Amino acid sequence: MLVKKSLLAFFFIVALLTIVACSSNDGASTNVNESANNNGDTAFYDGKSLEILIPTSPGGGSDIMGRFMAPYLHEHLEGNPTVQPVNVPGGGTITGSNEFALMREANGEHTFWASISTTTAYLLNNPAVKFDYKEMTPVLGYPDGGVVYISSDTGVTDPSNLLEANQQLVYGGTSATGLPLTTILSFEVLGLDVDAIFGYESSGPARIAFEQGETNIDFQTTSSYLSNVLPLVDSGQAVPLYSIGQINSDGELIRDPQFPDLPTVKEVYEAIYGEEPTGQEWEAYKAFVGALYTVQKVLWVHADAPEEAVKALVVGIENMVEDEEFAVEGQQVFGYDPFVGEELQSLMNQLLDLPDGVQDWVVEYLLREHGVEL
Amino acid sequence: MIETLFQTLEIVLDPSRIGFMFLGIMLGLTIGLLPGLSGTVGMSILLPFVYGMDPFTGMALLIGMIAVVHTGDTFPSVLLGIPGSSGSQATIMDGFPLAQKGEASRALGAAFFCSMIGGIIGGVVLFLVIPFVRPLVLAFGSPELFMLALLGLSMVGILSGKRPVIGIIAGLFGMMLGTIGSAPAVPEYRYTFDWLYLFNGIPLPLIALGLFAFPVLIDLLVSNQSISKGAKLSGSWLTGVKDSLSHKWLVFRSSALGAVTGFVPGLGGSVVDWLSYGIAKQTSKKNESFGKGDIRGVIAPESANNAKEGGALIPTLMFGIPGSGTTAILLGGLLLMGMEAGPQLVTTQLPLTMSIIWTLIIANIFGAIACLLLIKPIAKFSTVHPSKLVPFLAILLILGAYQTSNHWGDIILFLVIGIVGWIMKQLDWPRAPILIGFVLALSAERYLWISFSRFGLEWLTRPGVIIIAVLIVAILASSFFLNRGKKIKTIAEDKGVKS
Amino acid sequence: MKKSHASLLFLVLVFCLFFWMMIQAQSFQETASYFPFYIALLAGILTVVATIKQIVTLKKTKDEELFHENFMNVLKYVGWIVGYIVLIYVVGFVLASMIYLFVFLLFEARMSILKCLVSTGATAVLLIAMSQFMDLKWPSSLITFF
Repeated sequence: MLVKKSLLAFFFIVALLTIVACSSNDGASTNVNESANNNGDTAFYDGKSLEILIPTSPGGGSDIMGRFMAPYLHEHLEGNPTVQPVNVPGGGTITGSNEFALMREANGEHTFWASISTTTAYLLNNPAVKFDYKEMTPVLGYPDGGVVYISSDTGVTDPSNLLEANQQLVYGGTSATGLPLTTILSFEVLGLDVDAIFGYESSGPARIAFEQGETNIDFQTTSSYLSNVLPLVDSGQAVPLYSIGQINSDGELIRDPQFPDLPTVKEVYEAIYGEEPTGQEWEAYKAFVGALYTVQKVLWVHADAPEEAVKALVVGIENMVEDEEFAVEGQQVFGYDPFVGEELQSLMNQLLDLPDGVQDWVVEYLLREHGVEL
Repeated sequence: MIETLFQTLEIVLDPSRIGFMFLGIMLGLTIGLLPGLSGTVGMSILLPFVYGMDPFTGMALLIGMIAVVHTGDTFPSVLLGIPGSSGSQATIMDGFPLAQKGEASRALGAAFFCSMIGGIIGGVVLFLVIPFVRPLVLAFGSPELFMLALLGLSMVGILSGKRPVIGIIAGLFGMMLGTIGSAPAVPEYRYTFDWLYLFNGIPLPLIALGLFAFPVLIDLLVSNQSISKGAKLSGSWLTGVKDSLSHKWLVFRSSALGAVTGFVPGLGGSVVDWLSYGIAKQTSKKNESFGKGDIRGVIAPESANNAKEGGALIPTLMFGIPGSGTTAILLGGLLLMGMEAGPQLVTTQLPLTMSIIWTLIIANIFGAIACLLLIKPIAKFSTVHPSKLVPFLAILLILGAYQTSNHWGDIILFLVIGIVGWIMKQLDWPRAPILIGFVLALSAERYLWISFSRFGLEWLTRPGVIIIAVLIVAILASSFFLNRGKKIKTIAEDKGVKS
Repeated sequence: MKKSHASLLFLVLVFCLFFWMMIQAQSFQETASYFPFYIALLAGILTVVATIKQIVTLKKTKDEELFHENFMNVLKYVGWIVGYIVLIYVVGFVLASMIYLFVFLLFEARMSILKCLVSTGATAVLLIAMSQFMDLKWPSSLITFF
């Protein structure tokens, strides 16, 4: 009985394997046909698919952006590929980034949607980072920004009397090497004596801590500032100080287009000290604003992907951002105007290339002021 | 506000929206029913579809799903002793022993009825607190949140049963598991062996599945008899409903507790079922039978875990702070529909919030009814011979485990934690404390650190901190005296299948 | 192995784990090390207490209860699951599940071949349908057929 059963089981498995093997062969042969067709003058993405690798779990701001643009990419890329957003969360976005660089084929069918955590880890030489932006080409980039604001309990009513707060300034954030990095650098530039407390789960709870009075100076990125902090400003509980700003093509810090009425750190410094900011901390601040905010969310493709793929992506995305519907609907999701094409490529080269000494100075600063070893 | 409430009902009852709500309910029930799949999976499935929907329809779909996950997840918890999702772990403690006695229908009937009442109360609480939501949430600073984490941890004392030392060790073991991964505040990765998979820490569903589900797979097969051990399926779900009605006070206070725990941001609702179970056990008369198939042990966590969803929406919608993976995706969904979470949801966008409340209530009612109808066919699983049940379960569990982060590490950890869980079960180690310690470790560490670095020692004198401290002492003391007062000590070990 | 001996062994292993974690914790940055260090320290001390209690009871009472009456069976069933996981790694999730299910039902449940085939087929259809409609992901494997 048992022997009979074993035999049957064996045949069953063999049959299964054969069926499966045959079907996969079929798949392979059709693929060959397709690629043969591609030698003609059909579009590169004809019949292909395009993956957007998102290194966070579903639902975050960055993920929503990736998902939002998927149908538009499908529509505007020549050949109308199926566009598939894929979440590879973990390791503070490093897992997904490494997976893209090391395990995805450079065939133009894979793109990677990087966010601020990815770039921060990259700039601070996190040992887990196994990818290099130098081996990727940016095809779409979006800026982000944010505002530093203070509690009206401190007696500060205007950025210019920032140094005359009547209580110890306390700032709360996630970690000195995360989103708060640029903010604490701005405190350093302005010579503010701020007690920085880290360990909050994300910037949402840190904002609640501000409302509770646990902290009295805080930073929120643009979308969160507009929906959650503006009501506090209107009711007189919070006073906006300055926006994080953007770096223009001359390397100068300029006002955030979303907040044309708010000064930059540079203007605040001039109002307080009567001169332009200088020194290592100022260089570091500008470098990090450039690399982390001026172009924050970037769609990358492998640099060694087929040339026609990169070209198709660049052209398709240029068409996409000119699409009226995309621009209108996207305003809510992205908040800023995008960078595309060659402008983006040269800008990214410039921004990610930190000036000499900045990196070392930041590492030394984090250890000295915040006891953080990298 | 009341006026808006009734005007919104019309919007919610629009046929197309009701249709989407039912779609959400069906998905939510399925996800709950399948062990290993949590609300997060359901949300990720639905997210692409809400794009472009009007917010009322989209919310009907999403909230319909969220509302009933903790209704459907009772099936595996009661029938198999496997947590259907992380919200129904405590239901296993008494629900599974009831199923082993052949009283699965009664346990399920009580569970679904309580889920429904809990869900409705959760919706009502959400409605009632709208005017006070700001001061309420702002009352919890980091020191208070730390104390709440301690309150949760004190449940370990209640759930440890006759061997308190072992129970506490188990709780501490859970806390150590919770410290794996990236540390709060500094870029330090603890106990990760440089394995990138562990940088984010071990996912909670894997701990729950490993500790409770894996041992069931093995022991069912070894025992070589069905879960109901040949006992006839007796009793109908109506008995369970009657049980719930005779404990209506317990239903009510567990639901209220669930809703309140849900809205405390930063703590999440992951321990609400244990909290409710522990407090019910502690405050009930004749509580020796807890852990051996006491219907009150089903009523308490089931009332709380559905009520929690209403509460958990408060910080999510009004402050934009997600308390769990599910609510994090909900925020993303809102954004896709052109809405943003924030204080405007209780001012200019009040109708949307009202529609959410209605959806919660309606979905809970229909979810419970659907589950009641499903009891009869599904309860038969407890009479199936294990060798015909386990292989299907194994496939389902491994597939479910893999969905937590889509990484091979999920499957490996499921196996490793499962083997440890099996050994613990064999040696009568309570496993519930591990879960509690695990869930609360990071919050405890985070808020303790913030409390000290912000306030020094001063935080110990804050009134909120003192109130919660008194509560903790009262709970621990009562558990100590009750235990001593009794000849036969309570056994709250997690009863599984004995082989 | 007797149950009391197994308990003792497990406690010692747990103690080693806590001890190792405590030592490891000291190599972390200060902010990240205090919590795991003190928790592991406390856990270690309690484990020693529990071990001593266990030894005392071991000496007082003669415990004849075995760790497990049917340990070979346990190993066998753990083996089934490990084998299934290895199979997933090699041939992919769907195929591995079908093979595992079929063979298990045939040999362990002693179901008739027809029933096995029907169950396996139905499960496969269900799995594929689920992955389609619920967007479930399948583990990657060495050879992925589908």
